[in-house]
Amino acid sequence: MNEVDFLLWVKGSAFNIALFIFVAGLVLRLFEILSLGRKVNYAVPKGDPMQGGLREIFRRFGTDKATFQRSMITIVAGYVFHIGLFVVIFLLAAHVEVFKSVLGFGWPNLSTPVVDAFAVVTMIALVVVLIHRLQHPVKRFLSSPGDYVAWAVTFVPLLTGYMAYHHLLLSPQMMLGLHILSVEVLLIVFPFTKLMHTFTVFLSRWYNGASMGLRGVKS
Amino acid sequence: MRMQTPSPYEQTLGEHLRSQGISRRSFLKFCGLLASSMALAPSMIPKIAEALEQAKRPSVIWLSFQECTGCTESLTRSHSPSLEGLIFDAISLDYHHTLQAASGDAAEHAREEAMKEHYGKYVLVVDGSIPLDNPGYSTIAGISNLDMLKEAAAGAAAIIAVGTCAAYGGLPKADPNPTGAVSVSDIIKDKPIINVPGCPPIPVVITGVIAHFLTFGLPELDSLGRPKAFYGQSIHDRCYRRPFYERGLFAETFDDEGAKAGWCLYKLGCKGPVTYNACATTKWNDGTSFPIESGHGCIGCSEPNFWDFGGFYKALSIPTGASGKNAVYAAAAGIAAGVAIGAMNKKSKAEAASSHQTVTVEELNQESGS
Amino acid sequence: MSLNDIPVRPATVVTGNLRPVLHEIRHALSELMAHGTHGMIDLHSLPFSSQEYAALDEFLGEGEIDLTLNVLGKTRLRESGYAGVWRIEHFDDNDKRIGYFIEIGHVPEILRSQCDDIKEGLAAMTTILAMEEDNNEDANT
Repeated sequence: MNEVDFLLWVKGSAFNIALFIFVAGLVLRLFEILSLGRKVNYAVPKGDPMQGGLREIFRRFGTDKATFQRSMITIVAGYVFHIGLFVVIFLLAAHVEVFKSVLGFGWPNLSTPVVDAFAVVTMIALVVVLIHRLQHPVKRFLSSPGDYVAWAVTFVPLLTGYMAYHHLLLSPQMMLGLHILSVEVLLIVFPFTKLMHTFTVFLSRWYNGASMGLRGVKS
Repeated sequence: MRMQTPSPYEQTLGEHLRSQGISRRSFLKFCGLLASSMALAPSMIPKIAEALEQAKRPSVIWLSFQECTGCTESLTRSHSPSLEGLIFDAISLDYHHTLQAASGDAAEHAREEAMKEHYGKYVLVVDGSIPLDNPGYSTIAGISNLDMLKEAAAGAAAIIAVGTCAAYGGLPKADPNPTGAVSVSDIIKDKPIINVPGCPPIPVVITGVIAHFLTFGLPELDSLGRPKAFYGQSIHDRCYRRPFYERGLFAETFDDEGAKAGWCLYKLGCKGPVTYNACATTKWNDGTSFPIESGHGCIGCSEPNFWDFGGFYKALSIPTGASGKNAVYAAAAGIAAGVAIGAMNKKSKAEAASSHQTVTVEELNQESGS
Repeated sequence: MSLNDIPVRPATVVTGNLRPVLHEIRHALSELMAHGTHGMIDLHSLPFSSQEYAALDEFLGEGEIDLTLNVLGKTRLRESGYAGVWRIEHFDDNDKRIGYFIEIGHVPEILRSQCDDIKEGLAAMTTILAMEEDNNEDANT
């Protein structure tokens, strides 16, 4: 298999397999969570659960002063790489084309050097959170192999994409192939790791907020 | 194109050009253009001149298998008198069944003669792929392509696989590959093979490779067997529209404002970023332009399997195959599995509830009392 | 409808290759001054937009010499506004430009009468003179 065959394989059957597992896994996990349901609460509601839920979704974007001072690295680096990932994944012209082909619609893209800068910043932030995780005794104690897997499958696509764009190390075909392959690995493990939070984060925020809202408590 | 019977005295290239009435000045111009075409620094010109002077005129045998003759056309239709023409005149082309005057037995005789006379020294040029499914798919004078290639390769000093068919299988090998076509390098393993892919290759690249072989021997090759001098940089690297790619300005259709303003053709399927060839600098049709300059993306013709690369008009990053449909099936499968697992969860919940035993006050009192 | 009626208006392209080339020319010129080294830059294999070719032409300006040689088609040598900087344009028989170099030197290499050609010319001249003298002697006797 030469590098062109490899590239064709990752763009063809491998992508389809990965996409299938990703979508099926995603739907399965969401359906499973939602179908669990909750017991009907017969207590008299003291507030609006919807209002509480929605408020909670936005409230948790912020952080109180004490928490911020205690976990500054986690919060700042966390925000930086999340925003960076959003820009890199959704606003690079080549990526928009992929979404257009899968979803059937696209959106405007940013210019490549801007996305490139975001990619670098994102990678730096990811390295910072990894070092922090390894050095912080409590964080290290709490870390499971799943955390490191989630970190790696997020970082490798960024790195290979950056290298493919800048023609580093390997030929661009090979690097592009590796980049797509690494994204496929990400897609496959996505529904079965903590990366699933991308889809459950607002769900759980809403749930917490709603149960507080029902009781008339400000969360 | 000169068909010549081999003379006992081997002329050097310099002598040959001089005997053609080429002055030293012309020779210098020729060497300068050659350096430019070989993507060598101008400081190499004196070295090229020296090496060309000393080079022996090689005997060349050109075999055409499953091909469209486009490669030969590319070479022979190049402007005249051209650099390509001069180099081509400088070699002793002993067999080329499209170009030679002789035909039938006489032609095959010329090939056998040349192979015997220059055994171990001739250059073998191949265009076209070789069918392996059935030898009868393509024959010359009743000899199968496979047999002829093996026989001719045995005595060759080096093989130049001209065109994507000879280099990587090309169009005949495109899915579903009805003839079982393979490239030269799939069959011949014990000879140096220089791949000069392209559909067709740029004429000056074909002759540039020959010139390089004459002057400095085998050129440095990349991982796909192509000379780095010509295939060292991607179309994208040397594309004059690259600044638009960087700025994120793309033509969305072939007739929108972006297309008229000459923006990047990435979204219209340009394969420039993964295609290695010299089109962007050497250009086509007497240096007039190259495909991107006339508003069409690169189709990647110098890369293996370019016919099956997922569509000429699909952006490079787009996955091939029916991805959207696949996602729908996946969602359906996910829901089905979700329903099944949900039902199982409900069942275990119900079971837990039904097997739940309540404890009476008496029982508790008994336990604490004992 | 002619080709020019098609409303294609290419936007200005800047490849960023012009400035480095200008500096390369300046460097080569200072080398020529200091060490007498002959310099040459191949413009054909650089991605240049037509605007950049024009800008380069404007920068170099016109000098005193404009020569056309007849060697395998035409070759045009023009000294630029800067003495020692030459534009060498090679054309084929159909007057298509097939090579474009900037040469830095006292005289472009190709302009010199070449030793091989001089040698050949000398031999030819000697033969002709000898033949003429032979003929004259024959006539005299």
